[in-house]
Amino acid sequence: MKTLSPSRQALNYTALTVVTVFMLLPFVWVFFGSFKTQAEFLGNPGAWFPESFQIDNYIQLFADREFGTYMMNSFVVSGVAIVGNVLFSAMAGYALAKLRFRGKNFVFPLVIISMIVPYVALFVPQFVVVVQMGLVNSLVAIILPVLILPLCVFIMRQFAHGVPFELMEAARLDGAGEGRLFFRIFLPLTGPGLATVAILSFLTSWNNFLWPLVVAQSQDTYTAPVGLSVASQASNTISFGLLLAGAVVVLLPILILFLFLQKYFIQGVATAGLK
Amino acid sequence: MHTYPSSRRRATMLGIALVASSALLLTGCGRGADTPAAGGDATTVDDKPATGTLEIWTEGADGAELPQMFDEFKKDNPDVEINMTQIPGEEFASKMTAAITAGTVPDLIYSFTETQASLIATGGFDPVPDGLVNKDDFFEVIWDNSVYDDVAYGVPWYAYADMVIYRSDLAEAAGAEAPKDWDGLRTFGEKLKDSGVEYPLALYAAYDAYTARQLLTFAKQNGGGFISDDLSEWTINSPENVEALEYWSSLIKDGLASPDGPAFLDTVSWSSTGKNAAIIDGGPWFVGWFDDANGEGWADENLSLSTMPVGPDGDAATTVGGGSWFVPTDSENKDAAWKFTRFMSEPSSQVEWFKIFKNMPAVKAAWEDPALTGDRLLETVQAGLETGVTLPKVSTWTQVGTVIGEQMEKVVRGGVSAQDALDAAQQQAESIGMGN
Repeated sequence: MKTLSPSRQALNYTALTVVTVFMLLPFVWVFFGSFKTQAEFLGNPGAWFPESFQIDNYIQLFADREFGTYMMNSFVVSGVAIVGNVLFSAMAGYALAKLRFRGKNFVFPLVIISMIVPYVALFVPQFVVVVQMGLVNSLVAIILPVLILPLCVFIMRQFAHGVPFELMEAARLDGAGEGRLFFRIFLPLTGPGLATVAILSFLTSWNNFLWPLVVAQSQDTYTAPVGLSVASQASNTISFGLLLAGAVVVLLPILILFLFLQKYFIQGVATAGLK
Repeated sequence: MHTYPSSRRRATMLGIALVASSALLLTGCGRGADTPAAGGDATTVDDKPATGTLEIWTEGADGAELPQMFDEFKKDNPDVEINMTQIPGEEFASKMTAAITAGTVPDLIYSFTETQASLIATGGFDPVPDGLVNKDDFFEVIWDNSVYDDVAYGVPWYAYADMVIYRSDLAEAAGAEAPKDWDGLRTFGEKLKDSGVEYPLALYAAYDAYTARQLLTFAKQNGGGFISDDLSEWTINSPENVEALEYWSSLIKDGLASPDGPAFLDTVSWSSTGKNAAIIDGGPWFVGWFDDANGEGWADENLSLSTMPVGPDGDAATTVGGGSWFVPTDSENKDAAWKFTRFMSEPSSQVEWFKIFKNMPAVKAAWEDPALTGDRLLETVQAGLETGVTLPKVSTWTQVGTVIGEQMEKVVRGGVSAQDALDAAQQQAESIGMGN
């Protein structure tokens, strides 16, 4: 493998550091802004650092509002979305790539089409369906549309193509059924794909705003982004400190999940398109 | 074996996809084919106490304090139970549209002036019952905002008007007087510029529907307007509007205002530090923000207020906003909903709400209460409400307004003439249509 000269390496690291710092700046502003008072925002909105660190915004966020409930709802929705997507998109990917069945070549384009249709065109009919199922104003209704995401099916189908047919055929010859093939052979070989699916489904369900807002008809079923939007408007003006404190809290789970799974995630994103 | 679909099969699949997409889009339109008049019939509302459960959806910040008014209402209506849900303002219209389509609406909502046209266009709201309130009790501009085809769908509950908010100390040092008309505004800006203020006038420069709303006010001051009286066609490139845009953009081109700000959040800091001396077409809430930023009493000491300047022929026009109550046609307790609406429009309730939340009354009689008299901010708002202009009452206004805002940017940044910019906006607006 060709190695870079020390000067070239230094140049690369410098460029990467500059880009990284530049990309982190908004998050730094959000983080420090969460410790500012409303007067500081209005007096000097561009300031990077608070005059004195005060945690009132965080205290107010959890003490005065039902933010804990909103966070818990988000965790439930996102947790189920991860499990659902990992399981169902793996199954769909396995079926689309490894099994022969009638209409197979019709199903995959449908998955792609469902990724293309803009969501704003979908949410009203989707809402009507949920109402007719009697699920409106429930967490189940919030979860259903993110339980199996087309993008995750696409990713798992691509990964499934990378699992050698020979391996599957050998297991079949040894008497393994489809269930055993799926759980014992297929799933262990698609780890990076599953990690990618887990992160993407978590991000999608965690950040989802419009659908939970439409479905939740009482504040008990609000998720964190919806609740945060309400909490920050609780006075005659937007409470910017409260909004940023909420943004930091909402961001943390994403950050933690990514830190744990980043190795697989990067591997998954880098290789998903090559299968 | 992996097979690729034949061209015929591809065409079939494409056809199915198009049909499916169209079906979804059509379903998403909900009651789009209905006109506002297709809403339910007006009901009769008696004077008996309200009963049953009343579901209210609130938009924006007002909802946090509204339960205090519920307590007042329940004194005379002890058998009514009120459930309230706060909805974030950003997507309130989307949520309501979905709820109307599915028939899962609350009993009562309020809507701000900006979103009333698109909500009423869904056909999902009842007309205001005859005799519920007297329309002459309200400021005309805020009442008219929810009237379509001569049918009133909303009962106003608060209203405000924009104004000129300026630094009195800087104006005094520059020898500048409060601007009374367009020439006066230019002279005011020039004197402050000469005295060393970098950008004397703060104009909306965010280039969206709110920027267009500002131009609409200047256009009305010049005898123009963006839409015909019968709401059937756009009149964006009329000579009066072109003149108004030429005037507005000249303030920026001549360095009296900056095209780069202040944006919404730094408006207060620009004025506090003297980078800017006057907020033109500013909402009344800015005054309180100055105290929030600089300490209680700062605004009284350093700021003066005046109504918007009049146009060359003396035409007055002011940007206004506010909110009104609406009862969805599928509401299950319209009786209680209208009774609560009536209660909220009583002058005593309007004064009480002002004391709680500082929202200014939409009912003229409430302004005579001692709680509201003798306050210069309120007096300026009240004067502005008499000359307020309504936004074009069509559901496509936000889209068209954004187009106008984009064209305004081209005038001050891209060297495009006001005529060419508004010609382009007119063309785009005609292709967008009126939304019906």
